[in-house]
Amino acid sequence: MKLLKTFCLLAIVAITFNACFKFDDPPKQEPVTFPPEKIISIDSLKSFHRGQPVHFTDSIMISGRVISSDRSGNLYREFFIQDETGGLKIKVARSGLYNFYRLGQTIYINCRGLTLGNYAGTLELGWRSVDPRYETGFIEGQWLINQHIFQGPQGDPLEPRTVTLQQLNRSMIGTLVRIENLTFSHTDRSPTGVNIPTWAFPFPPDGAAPVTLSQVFTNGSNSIIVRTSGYARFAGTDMPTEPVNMVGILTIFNTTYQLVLRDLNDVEVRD
Amino acid sequence: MNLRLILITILLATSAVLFAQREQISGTVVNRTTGNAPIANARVQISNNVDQHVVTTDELGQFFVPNLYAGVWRIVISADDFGNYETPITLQPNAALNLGTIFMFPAIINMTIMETGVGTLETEGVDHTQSGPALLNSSQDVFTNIANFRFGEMRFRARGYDWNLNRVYLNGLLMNDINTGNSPFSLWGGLNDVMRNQEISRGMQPTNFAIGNVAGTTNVSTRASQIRQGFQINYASSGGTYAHRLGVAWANEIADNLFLAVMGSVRYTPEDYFLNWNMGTYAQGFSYFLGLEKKFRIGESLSFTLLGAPIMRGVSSAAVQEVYDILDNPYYNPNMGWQEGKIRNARVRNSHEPVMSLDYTNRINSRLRVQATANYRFGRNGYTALDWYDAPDPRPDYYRYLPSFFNNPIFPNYDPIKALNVLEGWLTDRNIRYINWEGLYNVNYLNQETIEDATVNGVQGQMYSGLRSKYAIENRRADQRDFNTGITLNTILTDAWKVNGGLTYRWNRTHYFKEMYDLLGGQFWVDVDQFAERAELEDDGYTIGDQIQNDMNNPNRIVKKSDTYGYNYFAFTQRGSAWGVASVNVGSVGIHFGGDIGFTSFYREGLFRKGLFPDNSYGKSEVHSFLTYALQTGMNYQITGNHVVSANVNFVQQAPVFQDAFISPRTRNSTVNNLVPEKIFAADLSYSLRMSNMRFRIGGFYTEIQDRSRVMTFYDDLNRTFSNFAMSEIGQRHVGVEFGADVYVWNGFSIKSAIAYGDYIYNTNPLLTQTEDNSDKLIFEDERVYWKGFYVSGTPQLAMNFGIEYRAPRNWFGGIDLNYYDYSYIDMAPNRRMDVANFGRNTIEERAEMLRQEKFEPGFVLNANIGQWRTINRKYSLGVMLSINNILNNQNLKSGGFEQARLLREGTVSAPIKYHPFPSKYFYMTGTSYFLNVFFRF
Repeated sequence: MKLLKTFCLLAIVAITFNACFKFDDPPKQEPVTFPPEKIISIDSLKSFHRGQPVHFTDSIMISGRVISSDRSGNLYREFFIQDETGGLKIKVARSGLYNFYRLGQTIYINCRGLTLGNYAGTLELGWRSVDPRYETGFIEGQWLINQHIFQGPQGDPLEPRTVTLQQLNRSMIGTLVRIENLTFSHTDRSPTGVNIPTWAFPFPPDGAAPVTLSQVFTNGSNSIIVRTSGYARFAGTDMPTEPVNMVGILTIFNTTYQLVLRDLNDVEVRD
Repeated sequence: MNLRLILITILLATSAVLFAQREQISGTVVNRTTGNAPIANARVQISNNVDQHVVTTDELGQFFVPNLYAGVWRIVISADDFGNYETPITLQPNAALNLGTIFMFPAIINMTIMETGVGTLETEGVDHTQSGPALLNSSQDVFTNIANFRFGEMRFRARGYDWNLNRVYLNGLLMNDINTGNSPFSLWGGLNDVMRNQEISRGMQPTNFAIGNVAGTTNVSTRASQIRQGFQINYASSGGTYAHRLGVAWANEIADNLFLAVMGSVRYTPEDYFLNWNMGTYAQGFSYFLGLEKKFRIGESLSFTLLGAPIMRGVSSAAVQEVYDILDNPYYNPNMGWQEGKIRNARVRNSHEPVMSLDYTNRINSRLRVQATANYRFGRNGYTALDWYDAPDPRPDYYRYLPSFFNNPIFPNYDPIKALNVLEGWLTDRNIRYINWEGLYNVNYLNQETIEDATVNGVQGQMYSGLRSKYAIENRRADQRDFNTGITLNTILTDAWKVNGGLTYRWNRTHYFKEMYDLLGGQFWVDVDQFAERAELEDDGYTIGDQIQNDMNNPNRIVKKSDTYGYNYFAFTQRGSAWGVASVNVGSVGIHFGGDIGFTSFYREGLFRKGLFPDNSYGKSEVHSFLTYALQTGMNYQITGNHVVSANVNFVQQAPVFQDAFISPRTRNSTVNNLVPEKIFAADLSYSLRMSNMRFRIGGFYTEIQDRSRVMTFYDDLNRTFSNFAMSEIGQRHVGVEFGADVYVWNGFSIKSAIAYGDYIYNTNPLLTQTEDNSDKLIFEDERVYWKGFYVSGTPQLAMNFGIEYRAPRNWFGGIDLNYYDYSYIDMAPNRRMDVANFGRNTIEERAEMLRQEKFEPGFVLNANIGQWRTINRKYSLGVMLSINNILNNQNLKSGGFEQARLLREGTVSAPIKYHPFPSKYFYMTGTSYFLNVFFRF
């Protein structure tokens, strides 16, 4: 009898313990918001740059909606935000940024301590650079990210602005655009010497690293480069031979406009 | 049952002639340390190869065993809280042998029911963890006694051997894990009180159920009639293993010749136990034992046992020194984090592996005994880990998240200000220095995705939408079904010769697979291997889409909680053997020689068709068979009753285990090149002395291991996959001395000491083949690894103990002891000592950085204990013991560590190749901690 009672006691103890070490799903993180009077436009921020990298010492805030995703691997360690006045590249040394900064989401950035620099005509916001070839470096490490980048409310992905090649101007750099009626023309500075039919060159011979390509597309009178990383998932996919409409982020390299695709959904086959 | 010994003893003394036709043995058992007070109710067992007689001593400590016969017998006297007394006796014809006064020495070890060993620590990424003995028993051997009890704090391994050489048997059948060779003590964790009936063979001595083994044998017998009768309640608490451990056991004869033994125990450590140095570790377990034995007649019984020890344990992992220094805490645990204010551990071991045993023994006549046993082990075993897909590494101590990543001028990302920022994060934000659980959930909460062409519940080509988890917890399972059986014959051929022999057979199916344990707020996971996406297109029709599949039979499988994914295969192993040992006693010399011959065969059966290896992963692999054999011989020379010299020689050929034979068993059927059996040659010599006030043993050993194969698996975070190092032609040489002494000095004071001093090195340069789970390429094949002359790791090669014990009147006792450890070396990463790793290192200093094997700093550990036990109303027995370990709070003793296998390439892509070793990871022995034990018996 005593035996039975002791076993019951132990069994009860064991069963209650089973409730330990179980975890419920924690609540969703609240999005951050900042009052609009504290925020300046992306355009105003960009105007601080007058030929030299700018290191911000005041708490200047900007805000924009995410228009890029590094999910396909075409972008790496960077994302773009856009407000009504323009778009800006943010350099963050972290992979899988799309897990934190989603298409359409509002992001707030406190620029104090950050650097605004120019890379071949495209302005980028990041950390101060330790590499003399670049004006900006990467915001790196969770602590730095927590100090500067704030996740605001989710939102629907932005619609691109449809423009023609003739209409392109520098104020559109860093924003999401849509260009119609583009046909592949040729590969700019092809590593093989001939046109490469895929978006990029992921498997060069002899196991060399994947190569980024500048593929030239034309609408008949003007052209634009579609720049795709060799690490993109669609790098090895054949480009369409018929005319297409393309959505992408507008960037510039010195005097040449470039389009950066997020993924192949940005390529619309014309009917 | 109990003879009225007083009367008979008197009779015996005066009428030896009356019993002239029968041989008998008698004696008086006393407690040496309390002025030779008699020990009542001591269990006296006199047995030979075939027969067994058991009596208990009376209030005067006396016993008498009649009805014996001439020949060689073994006497074992055991009593609660005393060390066993064991000795062989030769009984002459018509003799009445009086052994006189037999001195017993109290052993606090019998009170120690806690498990030690690697309960809460393990090595990160290395798939087979070594687990040490969880059971401490009072062995007859003074060295083993002290070494097991004391040196466990530093994960000491006797003679430097891996646990696979230390054989543990249950009811005469080998229970070491068939896939890894690891010791099986965790199968009965928490059940020590009923698992005390152990026969420990010293060194290479043969036993009744096997030939002598290189590193000794422990046999646990669970026959209910041999378990201490009555009630036992044991409570223990420790800062090191379990915060609370409560066990209740009861055994008795419940009907005519029917014995029952039962036990239940609970083990628990909360995750924030303030006396636990190892942060974030926790445990919860419940163990049970049921034993039934029916004795049909003298010498014939059938016994059934069912035991199990389900447990869940959150463990710690080693970390780099930088992290310990930043936090000024050598017990940092990278597996933990906070979730809504509670500590949560990502690495939880969970197992429930019950064992059933059926054991039949029959003494057929005075010359022959037969025993037949069958054991069946089944159940589940797993450990959890973080899994992530296309998202940043969630581990807080990932090397890129540490200040050192930015602090080295030779690397292009050198930026000391960033290093300071990262350091600031470590010091101020606990979601940076530990896993940010809530952050992981929030990534999953937002990841709405649609998978086209998914397999849902076995149906391919479905479209599936929902929250796709980017972070999840996987559970890596290894579920075994292990059937083990054997038959043993013990015979006495003549007075001098005895022969033991038998047959054994073991069959095992282990199911290795990964299951989804927790989706962390998401709704599904997709079973693909993202990094296989980088593999090159082959010209045989398989598209990239196929290569990323873990199971082409279920492409893009949608995985829900508890679904199997990732990898899935069976390991089938069979072993059989026939063995025999003959022993002969010629005067005071005993000689034994024996042999064992058998086979081991195993194969893999894949249950997933891995996209990278479509023709070599699904279905059965080739069956690999090995001939195994062993030869053993030795002798014992009893110079007098108290001095024994023994020498043993063993030669063994054993098969590699499954986990050391397949280069990447998660993905394919390929085996290690040069898969050959391992050969071991071992010899030992020892001298032991037992006198009325002392026990002493000194011995030396020499062992050579040849052609050993091992597969070590490391997690390669660059390629987000497991990397496998398959090594062959490993050779080891172990040589050393062991010394143990226990001397009763005066008036209750005893001095004890044990020293183990060895030199364990690798004596060959093995070959290495490296593969990665997500690639069909061999990274290296049969490259030379320069290990010759480097040290075997994982145990201090010098361990010394010196202690003083005091036994006061009224059963108070206390003691203090000092331990010293040295010559402990780090676990080497296989790829550092290769030509490739040393490119560009041309000077001795440069090469030393890559080649040097770290030797850990030596250190002292001081422990003390105090306790008392008492008998209440002559029936109840109550005892308390408290020990304080590491009184000096030495937190600088590394109890283990390993070199990381990752090599970082210095400079930029265009610079000449030069590799940089990653920092090593360590774990430290805990600071001052306590151990409390209370028992109550009747």
